[in-house]
Amino acid sequence: MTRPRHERPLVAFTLLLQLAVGAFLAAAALDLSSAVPAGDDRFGFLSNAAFIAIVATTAAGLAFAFLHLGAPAHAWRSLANLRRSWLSREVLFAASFTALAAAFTGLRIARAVPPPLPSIVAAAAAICGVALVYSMARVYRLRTMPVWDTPLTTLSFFSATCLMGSLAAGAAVALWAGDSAPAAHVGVLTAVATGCFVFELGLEAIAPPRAMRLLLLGLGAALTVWAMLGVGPPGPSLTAAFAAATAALVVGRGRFFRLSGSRPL
Amino acid sequence: MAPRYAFFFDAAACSGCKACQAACKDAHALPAGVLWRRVYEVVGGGWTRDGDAWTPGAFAFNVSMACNHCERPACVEACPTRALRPRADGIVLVDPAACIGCRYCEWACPYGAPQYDAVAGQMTKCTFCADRIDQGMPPACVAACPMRALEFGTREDLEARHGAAAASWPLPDSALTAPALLIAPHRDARRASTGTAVIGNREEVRR
Repeated sequence: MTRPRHERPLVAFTLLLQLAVGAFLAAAALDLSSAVPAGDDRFGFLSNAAFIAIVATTAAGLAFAFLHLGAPAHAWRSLANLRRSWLSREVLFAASFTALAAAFTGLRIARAVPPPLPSIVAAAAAICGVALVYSMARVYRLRTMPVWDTPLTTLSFFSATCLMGSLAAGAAVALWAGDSAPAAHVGVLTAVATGCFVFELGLEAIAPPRAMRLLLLGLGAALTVWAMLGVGPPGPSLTAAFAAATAALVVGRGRFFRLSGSRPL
Repeated sequence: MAPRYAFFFDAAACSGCKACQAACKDAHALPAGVLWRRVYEVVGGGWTRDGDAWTPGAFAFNVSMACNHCERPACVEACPTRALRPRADGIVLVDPAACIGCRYCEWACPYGAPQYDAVAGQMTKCTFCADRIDQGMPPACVAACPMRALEFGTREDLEARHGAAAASWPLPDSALTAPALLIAPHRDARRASTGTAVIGNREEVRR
């Protein structure tokens, strides 16, 4: 069937962009809270490689979006209906988030750039990232697709953003900093992740529950709480929690897209 | 002011022969899997038991649906490239020079009108036979119907001759997009709206 093949690239696109935005928000917040000045070697809790990975994730998501088009040669035209189409606005915010996140990463690598320019770029990227996730949700809030047109769509898009982002950043911080990982910051990230797990599990009470998704969410939540309690090094357990959460979100997003076949005509 | 065209469909007269669907495919040389007009079979009901007696209550009727060239088209609002644009007479056309085949209009339209042409990689849909209309001829589907279940004209003219009935299942609420479509409902349309009906030929009308 053409329909499921058409939707699988969009599962990848939406999740990859949401992961990138969530991870950037967490990583930029970690930078902001760093006690070490920007020019120092030990600035921030994450290496530059983490930010490069975020930009690469964004690029991968955009590649899926581009390749799912039937006639990608005219792709630049997708900005033509900013006045009425949330899809045009989504493209605008995706492009600007990518450019600003890449610019911030470049500034971070260069290190000699004086404040407040890096902070301004980071803030602009964060705003575009949040606007991107909001636009994505509005794309699916079609008045003519009642099964998608609920606040749960918006909430689940932001939940995916925060869940994947907090676990990816938390795992990266814990793995990179090792024993000197900042407990308070990792604690905040794991708390955010736990809250998102509760929301995702709550969704299973509303939608037709999938055993695989319940299993993955339960496993991910358990691993996150295990890391939060500080029993052993948090790096490996947060990495495994991230993998479980992402797999659960893939299952959930696939179910979301299949709902598009729910109308009679 | 340019006249706004509309379709009229008499569900009571439709035999489900699909001559309209075939005539459209022929007139526009549509590829396999692309249906600019689709004939849906609405089926439901069943047998009810009363003691030892069984009472038949199954129903079936047909709905012929193309593009309704809506006054508030969800596809036009959704399209990121503005490939979908309405003419002054309300006919909504796809500009192949602008369409990127993102299929968002396919989700936006509650009538199934935008059809993806996998070979071209673009969306296509009923054009109201704009080229035939401009020459004073009826659309291919209207001309082909042996039951005279399909008509076309200005909305005012069709309403004056047939009246305006509220949309019923499987059609969505007309307030969503204000379709240029008038339907004389089948006698079982109200029963179909109670929630027991399904589209019986889904595999014929969906890819």
